[in-house]
Amino acid sequence: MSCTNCTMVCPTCFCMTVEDGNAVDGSQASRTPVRDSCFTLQYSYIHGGSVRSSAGARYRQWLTHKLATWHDQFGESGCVGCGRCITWCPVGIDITKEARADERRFLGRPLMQIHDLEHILVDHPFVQGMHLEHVRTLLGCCSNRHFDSGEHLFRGGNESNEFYLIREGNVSLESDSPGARSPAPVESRSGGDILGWSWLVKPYRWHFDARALTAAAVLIVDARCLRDKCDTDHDFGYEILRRFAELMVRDVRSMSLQLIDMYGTRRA
Amino acid sequence: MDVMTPQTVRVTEVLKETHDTCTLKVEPRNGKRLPRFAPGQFSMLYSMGNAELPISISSDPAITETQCYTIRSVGLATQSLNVMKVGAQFGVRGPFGHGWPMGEARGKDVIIVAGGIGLAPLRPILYEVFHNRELYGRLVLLYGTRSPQDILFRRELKEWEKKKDTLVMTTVDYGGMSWKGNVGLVTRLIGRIRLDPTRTIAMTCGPEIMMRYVAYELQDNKGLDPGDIYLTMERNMKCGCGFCGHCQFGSHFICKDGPVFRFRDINKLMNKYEV
Repeated sequence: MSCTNCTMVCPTCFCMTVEDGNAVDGSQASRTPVRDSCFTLQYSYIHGGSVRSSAGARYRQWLTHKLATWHDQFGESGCVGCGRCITWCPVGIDITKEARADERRFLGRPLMQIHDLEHILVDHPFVQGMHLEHVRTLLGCCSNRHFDSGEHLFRGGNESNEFYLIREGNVSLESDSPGARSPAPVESRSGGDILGWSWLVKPYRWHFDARALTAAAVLIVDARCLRDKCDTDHDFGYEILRRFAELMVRDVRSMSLQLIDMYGTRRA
Repeated sequence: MDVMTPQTVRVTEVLKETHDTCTLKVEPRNGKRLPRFAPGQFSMLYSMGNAELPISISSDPAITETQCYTIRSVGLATQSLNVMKVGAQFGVRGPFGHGWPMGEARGKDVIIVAGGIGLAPLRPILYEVFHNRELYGRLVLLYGTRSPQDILFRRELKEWEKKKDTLVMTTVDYGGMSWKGNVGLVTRLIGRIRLDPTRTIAMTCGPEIMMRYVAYELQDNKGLDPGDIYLTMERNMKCGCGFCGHCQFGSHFICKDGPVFRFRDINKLMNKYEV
């Protein structure tokens, strides 16, 4: 098939090429970076022909890059389990099925990470008691990500199109305070916590900064994907909203307790 | 991105090597300097408005004022460089990649096996060895081409033959009536040399299939460790610095992890088709 759809929607595909252009009068030459796909013949073209001339070899390149060599290159999986490549494949090629077939054929042991993502999500307190069907719906919007210590998860003022289920590590919610040299920490969150509800209400903009205090592992939930699913499946939407309402109430309560300074060491 | 911006160079000399191959000697423009390079490194050459492609630097690394690129015309991109005349200009980015293991070669005998245009990326090794002759042991160059007309750097090959502790052997696939030299594959020459596998390093460049059989021959017939055999890989490249993804060979980015690899590290991948 080699239509390149999967590589165009894959959130981790990074390949690019450069297109050469000329002004008609020859006075100028331009070079424009554009997205490229390993499914094209030009991608691996060297003198004498393409290195990967069969579609099978090109699919192997993509599949092994996502699931195997990515680990060697970047220390994590090149597949985040989002399922976009499956959704957009015009002939229904399913990376999970292919990987499962391969694992049976070559390894005799599991290789795929999508199951792992489900295990991770099921373990998170946010989904405790949630219907498995709804967990699976949520899973479709999830991806796994690591942040280094000091790295920002998001910045106040930026568009908010996701929220975070923290798996491990500490994350600090911070606010710019006038006159202060560095942002003031508002609250810290850690493993098992949820971060962010700005995605829920218009204009979908972050109010605070969030910064990883230690290396942090999180599940990112794509809010655009989730909002759509909430709109079409009201049962699911109600379930999510109920859980977020709990969260909001808890947050507001803890903030008011912080405000009244219950330890009583009020500064003059 | 700074690494993506080419530096303009001017062609100062065109050496016609064979009917389809020429060496372009270039100098930087406006008194700028060309960055230093190590033997085996390559640059991205940009013929304005046409294409950009990776080409190995074939000149003496000790010479810093100019650089040479030996280019065989095999397609539109290489042809656009091949037709350049003295005074023409093109863009250069680089040098990129890891070169030949010259440090490791010190004190050892050096076997160089070249096939066709593969001699170009190997030529800087010869310059380096001749400049610092006492640092290296015996030097053996085995060179195979398609026909006598395809032999590169003829005059230099003759000079190298006369150097101390140096053996140069050439072979062709088909010779013709006037050819008095060797006919046959370059792997056949390996059987005719003597080497001490404990103090020898081999470096090879040529078509992938040739390099594979050269490595097998060195291993099986001469007892060389696959860790002491080095070869240089080639793939489509767009950036030269690990961004574009085109040159991936298994988990290796040829542009930044190579182009020179230890045979031991990529042996398994080389046995697979269309990697």
